[in-house]
Amino acid sequence: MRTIISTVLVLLFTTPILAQYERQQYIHKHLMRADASIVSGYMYKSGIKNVHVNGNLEYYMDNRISFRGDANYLLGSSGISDSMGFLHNHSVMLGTVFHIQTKGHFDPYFILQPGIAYTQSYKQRYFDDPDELGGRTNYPGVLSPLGTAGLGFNYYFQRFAHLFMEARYVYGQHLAEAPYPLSLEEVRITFGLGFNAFIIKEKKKPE
Amino acid sequence: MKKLILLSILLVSFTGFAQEREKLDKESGYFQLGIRNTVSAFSDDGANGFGYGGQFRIRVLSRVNTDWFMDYITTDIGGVARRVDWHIGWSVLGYPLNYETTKGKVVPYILAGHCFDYTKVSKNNTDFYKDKFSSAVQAGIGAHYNVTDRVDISLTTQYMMHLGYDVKAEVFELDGKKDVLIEKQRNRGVEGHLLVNLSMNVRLFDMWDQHRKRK
Repeated sequence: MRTIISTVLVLLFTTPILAQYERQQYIHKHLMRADASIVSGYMYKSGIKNVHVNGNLEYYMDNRISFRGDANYLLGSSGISDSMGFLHNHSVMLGTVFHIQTKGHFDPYFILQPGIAYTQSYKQRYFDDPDELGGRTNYPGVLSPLGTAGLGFNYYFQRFAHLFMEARYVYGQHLAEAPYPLSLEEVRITFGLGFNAFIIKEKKKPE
Repeated sequence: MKKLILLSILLVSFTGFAQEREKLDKESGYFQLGIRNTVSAFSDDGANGFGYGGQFRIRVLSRVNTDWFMDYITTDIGGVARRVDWHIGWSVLGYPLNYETTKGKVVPYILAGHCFDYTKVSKNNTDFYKDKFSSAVQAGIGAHYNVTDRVDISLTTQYMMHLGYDVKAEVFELDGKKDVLIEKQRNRGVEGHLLVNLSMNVRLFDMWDQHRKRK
């Protein structure tokens, strides 16, 4: 019984504090956020599963618009498409994030980011192929243009940290010296903890 | 008396010009930076390409903007060859209707310009290729949508005509197997394709610093 009463009392006292805290919205002009995360990707056309590491930096022009730069490095790739797979699929992206305004710390958004990838493919050769010797042929790396669009949200639970989750679609084609092109179309999902800071202090308007 | 009337007309018209000038100056002088994706369609090869690029804009007058761009476009030709295009050039944008950069406004424009380009068409699974440098002219229409007073999204459709020795790729089937014939034309000609750009741009600063001076 004591435990219940003490829990209720704690809740009663902390709720007004939290309510006051909620009024102080972190999502506004000059907010800068950054995060690094592991991204799970699936190339549904070729059935290849990828793991990328992503780092990004974002600057809020105002409550609704921000600019964001992303860098992705392919950690590993499992699966091949008709004996072909990827050795490298690293990319940089730069674009605009459109935020849907809320009254709290929840920050849903839509992102549009063109980008460019450095991609290198290989062909796996098998011993049972009568024309080929065993081993792998690596083709020269190429630059592949990308277009990406995604949905996600940030939750700014603290002045210096936030939680995030994002799903995005990546469009592109790997056109190299390889026998045939490989699609770079991929669905990527990531979530984690990010950091935020206010780099410019808002000037107070004279009363 | 005549002199007085003439002087009055001049004074009134100068005031009008000054007001117009001030109105014009609110839009000119800005430097914008942006990035874009490009889709290339209806080329002679019949293949569609996809590209990445960027541009900066210098607005010389309220109704006239200049766009300086670079694009990198790759195209798959029937799964047996590939084409890479580099474009570097400039366009002049004219705003015949609305020209104000205000949040929520759509600003339609017409554009025309010139670019230099490099094209390389390669056969897959071999190191065979043909390439060319040429020059091109382009013209089209588009619109900016001002998301905020400083940020816009622009959609442009333009037709680009390359003037020079074209590199052609013709896909054919031999015994049920696809192959490609790549050749560089011996005579100069005109070859064109449609480019659709979707770009995001941010207005960074006033190059002529005119607004600050006025304040």
